[in-house]
Amino acid sequence: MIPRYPRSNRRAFLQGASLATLSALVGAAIPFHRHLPRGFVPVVIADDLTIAGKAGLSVLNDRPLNAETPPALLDDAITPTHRHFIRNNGNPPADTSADAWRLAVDGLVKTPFDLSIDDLKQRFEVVRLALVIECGGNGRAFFDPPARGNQWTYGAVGCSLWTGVRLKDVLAAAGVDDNVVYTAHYGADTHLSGDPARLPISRGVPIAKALTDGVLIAFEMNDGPLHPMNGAPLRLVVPGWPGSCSQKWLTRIQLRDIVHDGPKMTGKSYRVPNRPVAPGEKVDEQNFEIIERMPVKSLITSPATGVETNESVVAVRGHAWSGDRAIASVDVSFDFGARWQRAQLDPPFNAGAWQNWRTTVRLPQAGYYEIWARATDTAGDAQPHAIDWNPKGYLNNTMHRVAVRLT
Amino acid sequence: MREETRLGVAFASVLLSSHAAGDAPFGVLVDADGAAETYGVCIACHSEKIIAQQGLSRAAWDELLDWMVEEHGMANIQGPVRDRILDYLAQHYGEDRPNYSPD
Repeated sequence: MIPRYPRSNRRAFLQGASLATLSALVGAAIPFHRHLPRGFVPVVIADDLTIAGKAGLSVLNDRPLNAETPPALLDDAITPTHRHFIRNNGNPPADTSADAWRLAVDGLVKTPFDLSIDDLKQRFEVVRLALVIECGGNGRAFFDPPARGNQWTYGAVGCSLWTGVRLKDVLAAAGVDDNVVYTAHYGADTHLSGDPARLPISRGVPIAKALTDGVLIAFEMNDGPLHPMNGAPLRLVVPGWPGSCSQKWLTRIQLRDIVHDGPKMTGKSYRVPNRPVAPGEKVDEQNFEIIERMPVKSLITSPATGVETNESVVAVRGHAWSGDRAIASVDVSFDFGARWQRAQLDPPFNAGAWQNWRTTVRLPQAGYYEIWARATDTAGDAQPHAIDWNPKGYLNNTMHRVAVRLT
Repeated sequence: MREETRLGVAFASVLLSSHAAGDAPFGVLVDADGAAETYGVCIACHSEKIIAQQGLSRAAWDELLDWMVEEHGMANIQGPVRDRILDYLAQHYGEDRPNYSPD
């Protein structure tokens, strides 16, 4: 469709393209083309900078690559590989072939070892689980005042099928020393500055979390290879905790007797104040605490926001999840929250998966509606209306709202 | 790709700002006083697209530059060049977000 020019020439080509050409490229007439300033490229083309093996993702940043999935493209019960978001902190490794890959397990263990991916498959039980990975900063775009970092809207979340071995089995084989407090994860990605002495990111989890059933060392995604931007050939998957715990391009797991202090563990990274704060409030670094489980949340994946329809009966569906917990109920409103109706809710495929839900709303007359969804988890926590503001823009689990216009 | 193209039509009215052909020396950044210094310092390590997403006060940008020096090995820029960069960022990528819209 679009000529494969180098990027700069391609942009120039698009900027100089006629209306007919642009219409052909976006696949439809552009009713408001007169509002399109000269030199603007429709974002549907501009952002389709062709990440091999991905489709429809919105690129927030291209170095390092960060891309999210519009909610309507997260409609599948299990997120296909081409729809799974990408959050990179550094440059991915050039060589991601599985054959030569090694994983070291060391630190405070009785028997440190170094294994190939084949060794992992042979020595440990292989399991396949649907697991939610959500970026800790998903929803940051809506913070006011704004919080720094990638401005994720809704789509830094996915629930794919991950095949691998349990971290707890591997750690049991190594023998966990009594004084272990935390894991430390290392990957093969490199720092953006090119300085080999710096790591882009190295986080960890409390040893108690590492020893739970759902934490995998994964070598397959949706029964195929991991996508190179999702950590091929080996990664951790720590469901329900900030995605940064799920180290990609995993090369080493170290057990430590202190809370791990690698890059993005300290300062204000992946931390929130230990008390409620006002929007914009300055908070001293010592009053921050590390984020553990992610809060209860849901997405409406159909209809897509902004849809216009002449059909007053609208099918509504989506997903709901809550870190380390299950979802008890999902309620839907189409009158700005005055009345709620209960959605049909599926059980999760397994603990750590999101839960699919659906309902039908009957819109009473022509006009503008917002469909809201609110999930409640098994501990009774429900999604709030307003953002619990924090300085770095984490944990926005406010209700998802989609606009529907009935004609 | 066709499926994505059709779905993308819903978003086609959302536009990505870009400069006229052959005249985008600072990528997606607003071409104004201080853009050259900002672009020159920042894109050594990362794309300007991460800058263009932000909405920070001058003080917060100042703190962010310190963080880049301490955590990421950026050169410690001081004096008039730092002032020009901070003025530029605070004006075009300030808390009122004049050059940002999500979606």
